[in-house]
Amino acid sequence: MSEEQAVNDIIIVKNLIKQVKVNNGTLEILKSISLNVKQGQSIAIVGASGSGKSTLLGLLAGLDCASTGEIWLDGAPLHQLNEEDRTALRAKNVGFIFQSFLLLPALTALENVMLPAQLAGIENAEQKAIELLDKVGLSHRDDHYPNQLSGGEQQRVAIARAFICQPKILFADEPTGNLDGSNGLRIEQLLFELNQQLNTTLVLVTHDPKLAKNCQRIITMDDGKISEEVNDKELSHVV
Amino acid sequence: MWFKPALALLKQQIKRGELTIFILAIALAVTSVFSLSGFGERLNQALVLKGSNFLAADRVLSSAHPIDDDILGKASDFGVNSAQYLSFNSMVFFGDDMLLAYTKAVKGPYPLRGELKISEQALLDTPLDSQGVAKFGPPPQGEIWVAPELLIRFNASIGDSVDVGDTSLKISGIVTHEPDGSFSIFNSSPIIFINDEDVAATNIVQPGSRIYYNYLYSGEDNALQDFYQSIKPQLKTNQNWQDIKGERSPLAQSLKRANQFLLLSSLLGIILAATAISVTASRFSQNQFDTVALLKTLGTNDTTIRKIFIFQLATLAFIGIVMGLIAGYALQEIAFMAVQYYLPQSLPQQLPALGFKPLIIALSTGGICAALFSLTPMLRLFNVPVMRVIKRDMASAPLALWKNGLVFGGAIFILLLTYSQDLILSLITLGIAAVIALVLSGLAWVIIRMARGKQFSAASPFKLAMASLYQRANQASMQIASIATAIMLMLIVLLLRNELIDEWQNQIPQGTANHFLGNVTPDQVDQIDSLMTKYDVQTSDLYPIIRGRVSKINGEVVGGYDSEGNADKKRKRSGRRGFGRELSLTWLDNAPAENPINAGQWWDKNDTDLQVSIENDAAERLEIKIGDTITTLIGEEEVVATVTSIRDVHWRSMRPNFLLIFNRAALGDMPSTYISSFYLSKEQHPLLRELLTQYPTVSLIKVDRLIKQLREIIEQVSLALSYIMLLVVCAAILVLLVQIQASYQERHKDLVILRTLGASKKLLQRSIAIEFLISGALAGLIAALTTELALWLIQTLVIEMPWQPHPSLWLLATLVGSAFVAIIGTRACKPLTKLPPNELIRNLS
Repeated sequence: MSEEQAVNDIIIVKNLIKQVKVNNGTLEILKSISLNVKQGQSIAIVGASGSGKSTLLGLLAGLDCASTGEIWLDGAPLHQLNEEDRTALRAKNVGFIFQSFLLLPALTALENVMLPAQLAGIENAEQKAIELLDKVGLSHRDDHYPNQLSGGEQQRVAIARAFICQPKILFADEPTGNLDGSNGLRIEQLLFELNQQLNTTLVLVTHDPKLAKNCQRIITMDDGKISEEVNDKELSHVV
Repeated sequence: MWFKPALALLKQQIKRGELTIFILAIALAVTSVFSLSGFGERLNQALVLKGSNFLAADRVLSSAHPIDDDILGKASDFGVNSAQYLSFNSMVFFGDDMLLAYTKAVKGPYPLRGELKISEQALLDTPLDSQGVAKFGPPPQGEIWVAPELLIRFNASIGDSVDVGDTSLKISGIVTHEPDGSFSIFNSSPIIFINDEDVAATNIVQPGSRIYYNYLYSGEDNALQDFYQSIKPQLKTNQNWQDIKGERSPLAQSLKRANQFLLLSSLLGIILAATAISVTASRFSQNQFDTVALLKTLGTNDTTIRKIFIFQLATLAFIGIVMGLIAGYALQEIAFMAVQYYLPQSLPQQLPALGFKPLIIALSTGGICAALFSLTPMLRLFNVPVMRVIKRDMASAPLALWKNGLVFGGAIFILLLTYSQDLILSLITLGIAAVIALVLSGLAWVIIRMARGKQFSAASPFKLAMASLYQRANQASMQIASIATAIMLMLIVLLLRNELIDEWQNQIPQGTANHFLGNVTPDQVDQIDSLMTKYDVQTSDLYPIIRGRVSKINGEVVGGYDSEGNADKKRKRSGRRGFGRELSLTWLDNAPAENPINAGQWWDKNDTDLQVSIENDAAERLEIKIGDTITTLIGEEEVVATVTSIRDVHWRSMRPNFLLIFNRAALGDMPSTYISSFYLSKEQHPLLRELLTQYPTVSLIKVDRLIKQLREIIEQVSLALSYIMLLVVCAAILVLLVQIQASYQERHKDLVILRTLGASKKLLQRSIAIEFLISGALAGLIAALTTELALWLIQTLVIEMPWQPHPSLWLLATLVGSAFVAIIGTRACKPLTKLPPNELIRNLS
């Protein structure tokens, strides 16, 4: 990675606050978070349940709006964009992997993978989807529906879907949360392999410390605030 | 112990709006049933009350011989009012002039229904009905009330005396309105009223005299029925008990038709409401799976769980029923106010009270709906496995589709039977519902095949819409079935209403003849024609009338059957089917304009061979075709004519109509009198005085009272059907919302995934709109198909109206279906496209 690329921040967060209304007032879920993520980095957000890590992920991905603060995603000011603009941004630049896979049950594996490419108007969506399914080892199951696939297989399809548009940023929310040990490991390997091949910035929320340690950076959330633990790999890369 | 948590759970669910539609569905079913049965029953009673005017009572017992007083005296024991009159023909003399009059010798407070109006002067240039004051009871002894024609013919005045039999009576009033006047053109003698006490003095009533004893009764329906049952064993076969519903009059037929329409429309509306209840009950059950599993985990036994949820269901049903009763009562009161406002003369001043029957039916409906349509979902709920708390996808197995269908169908049938108390109608209605279900099974298969023909693509809103339909194929089928049912109901009610109104209004359009003229001699024809022209009165043509009997067809002697084609056991002669009675025959040079020829050809007036034209239904019944010969006996003379044409006749029109019409060559030389019909406006009434004065032997019948009554009934039924359509539309909207709500969660999930992956709001909104347009159009097409089928069944089997196909129905149904579903569906789903994805992702995870 060049020095120029290394200092190129793809995600910039400044004084981010997220509050929600509850019965007797407001609850502050995120308390003035500031964060920069460089292009190509892999970053894990860890923390106890209720620490705000999934909320932070949602805000970074443009799925939700902050109460105050700034979020810049690939140079675009998310905090100033409306829902439609954020959606358009997601279509071009962002991939997602969810804990509960979130495949469309009415579509086959191949169709699920093709979906983001079709929405973004990318040509050769089918060919690309076939290649990706092959990469995740499911080319022989391309015409199967989600209810015909195991949890691990569904997540592999979800991974293929996440990468079809060659997004700049991949957000993964507990990608191995619903999987057993061996499946989880397989998903983990697949995720980082593809991430490296395609040079995607990876932002990962996880409870799994082994998964987190594969990332270049680990951010720990605690009661809506952030503390950071810098990984060895990042240090060696920077230098 | 279980009560508090049950109530707390229920309150929370109601607060969150999860059970609103369930309550509304029950409320709607109860509202429909209560308002329609209440409205229908009270309207029916009001119409019967109005109709009873034609009998001058609620019931009439008529007999050729006097009935014992101890039989008749029982009426007061049952709280029934009574009056009576003798009726007979008698000559009335005024100086040297005499006239045959129809006499009513009255005793008691006649009339018990309707009005007898007596005036001290009769102005023929204003409608007679509006003149005079109402009288109850006979004229004073020694006095007589007469029809205005009698005064005109005698050139007499109030105060003059006339002789009736051996007694002299003073004219003290003119009859301007008689509630139960005769309509027969062959019995059109002027009416006179005398006191029953004067009958003896007339010496007219002798052994063998042709006299009818008419005993009139009025009171509560139950009391009249009980009275009748008490005297029935003592009545002879020639003693006739009549009421307005039993009478073979246009009014009785109209009432019967009106009731059938109201009933049928209500039945079909109930099915819709039942569908909504079934779907919401199913959803309610599914939403409680986790709760039941958890309760079982916490040690709650099956009995307690049943108590909790039956309590919840009963509470919801109670709320729905109460809401439905309140709304139903209010609606039927509003409906009556509307009728009284728009048709002030059509209902009595005091409306009949709302009885208990509509209330009981409504309560039964609410109870049956809540219990039976929730049965299978509840059973499924009670059987949720406790392991569901660990294996989240575990649930109790749903009942097999055919079993579900059986329970649902059985419940519908019980409901229909409870409401209609008519087995045939209930079975037919259920049959229609079953046909829809079968058609829909095929449709679901078609949808799946269509949607899965090509690979899915998110490239266009159309393809997204088809994918959504495919994904929810079973639900989509059910949704389409429900909407198709709703559209079908609306179309059936609309079409039946329009056809009924058209048919009736074609019978009695404005300007329909309101007078019949009879006994016109041949030498009077031209003069009367000129008189009509003088007053600018359009007549229906003067038809010669000759009485005759068909004795042979194609040389074969006829006999053994009556004119309806039923076996006439009394005759016992075998042979070809004939008319079974003497007919009124006529001859014409030109075909009547209102009798279109559908086979053969009309004759030329100069033809010398003997020809006859026959009415279409009679030709079919008697198996007569073009070229057959009919032998008619007229007095001693036989006329053999060849059938050269077959015509359609509109029997219910207010004009002379004939089964057989001959040509001039056949009957032109036969002695005859002439009849005609004409419309007389208020301004043209002076014609009557001239007609009656110059042609005293001519018979005149006024039928405008009947026409007016029929028209009022049509307007009332039309109003009632419009109200039903409104209810059906509300039910349809509710069903559609229920269906959408059933798919909301799934739909929500899909939309959020698509949104997350970058699908624009416009794309999603368009795909939703297209999905609803497609399902609405499909529903419309199915509705068109089933409507045609249903109309054919109803019109031919139940209501006995002629059926015709409706080509424009298909386009209308498709457009209505698309628009209706698209508008409501897109509106209902609008919030889905506005929700931020983040919240749902959290919930889904």
